[in-house]
Amino acid sequence: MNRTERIATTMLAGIALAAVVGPWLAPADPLQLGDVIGARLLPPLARDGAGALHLVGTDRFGRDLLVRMLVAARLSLAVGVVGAVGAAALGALAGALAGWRRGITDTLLMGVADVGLALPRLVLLLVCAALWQPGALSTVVVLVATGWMGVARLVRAEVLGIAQRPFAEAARALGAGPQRVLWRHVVPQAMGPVLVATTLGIGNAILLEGGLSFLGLGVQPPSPSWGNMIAGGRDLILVAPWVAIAPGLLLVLTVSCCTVLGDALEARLRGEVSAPAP
Amino acid sequence: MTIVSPREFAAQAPPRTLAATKQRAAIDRRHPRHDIYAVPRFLRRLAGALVLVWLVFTLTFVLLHAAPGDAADLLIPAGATPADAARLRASLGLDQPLALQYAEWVVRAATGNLGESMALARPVGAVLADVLPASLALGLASLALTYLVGVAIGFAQAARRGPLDTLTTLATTAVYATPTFWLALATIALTTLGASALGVPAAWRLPAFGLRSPGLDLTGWAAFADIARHAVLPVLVLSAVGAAGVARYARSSAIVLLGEPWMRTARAKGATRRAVRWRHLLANALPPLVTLFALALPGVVAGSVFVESVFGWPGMGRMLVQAIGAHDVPVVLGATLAYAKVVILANLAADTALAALDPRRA
Repeated sequence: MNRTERIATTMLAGIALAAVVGPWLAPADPLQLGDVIGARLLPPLARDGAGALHLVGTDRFGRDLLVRMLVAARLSLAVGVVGAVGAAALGALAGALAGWRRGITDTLLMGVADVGLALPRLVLLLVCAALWQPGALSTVVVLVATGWMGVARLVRAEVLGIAQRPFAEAARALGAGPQRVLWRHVVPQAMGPVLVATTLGIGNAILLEGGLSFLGLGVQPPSPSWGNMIAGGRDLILVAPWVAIAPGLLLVLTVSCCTVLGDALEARLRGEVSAPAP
Repeated sequence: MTIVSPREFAAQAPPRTLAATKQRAAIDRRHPRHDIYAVPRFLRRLAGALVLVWLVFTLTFVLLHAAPGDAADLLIPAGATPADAARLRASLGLDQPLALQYAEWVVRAATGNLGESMALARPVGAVLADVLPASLALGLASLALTYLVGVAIGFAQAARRGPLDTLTTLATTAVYATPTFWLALATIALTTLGASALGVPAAWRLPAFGLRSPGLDLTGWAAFADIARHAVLPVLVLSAVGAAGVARYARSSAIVLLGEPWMRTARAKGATRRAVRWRHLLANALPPLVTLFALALPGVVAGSVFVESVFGWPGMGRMLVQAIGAHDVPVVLGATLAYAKVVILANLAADTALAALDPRRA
C-alpha cells in the first residue's frame, strides 16, 4: 500500500466511524428545531446565542450543519454501499449464468444488459425514479436495477475463459456437478474484477444518490442525505454558500477515496504497470 | 522458381499484354485488396443498433406498465372525476389487451408520434425539437472540450511521470468524484461572490443563469456573443468533470502503450522521440481514443441534466427534470428515447471507426 492508498483508507474509515458515532456525541437532535431566529445561517466557526460552536455553520433552520452532514453520511453511505454491492451481486449472478449456460440464457441476459447499457445510467435512474415513489429504499432498488449490467458483462467474459481452464475440467472429472463447478470453482476465480467494480461502484452509487436526491427524486427531507442537503442550500448559494458547499466537500472526499481504493485494487490485480517515457 | 503469392504477384510491375491484364483482374477478383466485408459488417451493426433502439422502446413500455397503477394514473391530473379518468383510459387505449397496446406503442414510437405533453398541451416531438438546439450546442461544445483537454492531460501525464503526474492524478481523481450539480453551485458562488469581492466590473462578469440576457433585444453577432457568454460557465463545469474522467482513461492507456516493446524498438532503430510520439504512439493510440470518445458521451449527457437545471439552460436535460416533476410521462419517455438514440448512434459510429482503424477488431 502506498501513501495515497493508506490516506484514502484512513479517511474512508474515519468518515464511516464519524457517521456512526458522531450523531450520538452531538449535543442536539439533528432534526430538532431550536432557536431558529438566533441560530439560522451562522457561518462556519461561529457561535450561536447560547454560545455553542458550529464548526461548519448552521442551515436556514439553525440546525448544526456538521451534525446533519454526519447523519446524512449514514444514509448516503448505506444507500451507496447497499446499492453497489446489490448491483454487483445481481450482475455476478447474471454474468455467471450467461457465461456458464451459454445459448438462449446468454442471449437473453446479455440482450437485456445491452439495452440497459444503451441508456445513460442517470437517464434510466430518472425514468425509474419518476415512475415509482421516491425514497431511500426505492433509490437502492433503482441503483441495483440500473447498475448490474457492467458487472454482468465482466463476469460473463471471465467465466467464459475460466470454464476452459484445466482446473475446471479437473473438478468436473472428479465428479463435481455443474452447479458446484460453477459456484465453487469458476465464480470465485472471477471475483477480482467484481471487487474492483464494486469499490468503484460504491463511489458512483453515492454520486448518483446525491444527484437523485438533489433533484428531489431520491432520499426525501427531512431525513438528510448529502444530495438533498446540497439541494437545500441551492437557493442560499449567494447568501450562505457553506450550506451547499460543506456537504458536497464531504461527498467529493468520500467518492475520491472510493476511486483511489478501486484503482489500487485494480493495479494490485493486474500487477503494477510501469512505463518508461520514450 | 520462386513461389510468389497472388498478392505479391499482383503488386509487381504493371501488366503489359492483354492476357496479363486479364490474369491480373482475375487475381484481383479472387484476392481483393480492399476489405469486402466492410459494408456487410456495417449493415449488420446498423441492424443491431436498430434492434437496440427497438428494445429500448420495449423497455420504456415495460417500465411504464410495471410502475404502480397504470399510465392513466400518472396522466390524470389531481382532482379529475372518475368519469374523466375512465374516458382518459379509453382514449389512451388502456382497456385494450396488453399486446395490442404494445404494438401500438412501437408503431407510434417508430413513426415519431410520441403523443402530447400533459403539462404543455403540445406534441412531444415539437417540445423536444424546441429544446434540442440548446442542448446540442452545450453538449457538443462540452464534448469537444472534455475530449481534447482530457486526452491532452492524460497523455502529458503518461509522457512525464513524477511528482507532477501524481499531483495531477490526485486532482483528476477528485474532480472526477465531484457531482456536476455541486460543482455548478460552487462555481456560481465562486464567480459571483468572488467577482463582487474583487470588484470586477459588471461587463466582465459571466452570467450564471439562462441562455440570453433578459430585456435585451439583440440580433446577429451580438445575440451570438450574448449566448456564448451565457454558455461559458455551463460548458466549463460540464467539461471539467468529463475531462477528468477522460484524462484518467487516457493516462492509463498511454502508459500501457509506452510500455510496449515496439516503442523501445522504434527508439533503438534510431527514430527520434518526436517521431516515436507522433507516428508510432499516435497510430496505436487511435483505437483507444475512439473508444474513449464513445465512453465520454454518456457522461456529458448525464452531466448536462444537472448543469442545465442549475444554470437554467433551456435544453433537454432541464426539460426532462421539469417533466419528471410534473409527471409529464410522454415527455419523459420522448426525452429518454432521444438520449438512447444519441448514445446508440455514437456507439455505432465508434464501432465502425474502430473497425476501419484496426481491422483486428472488426
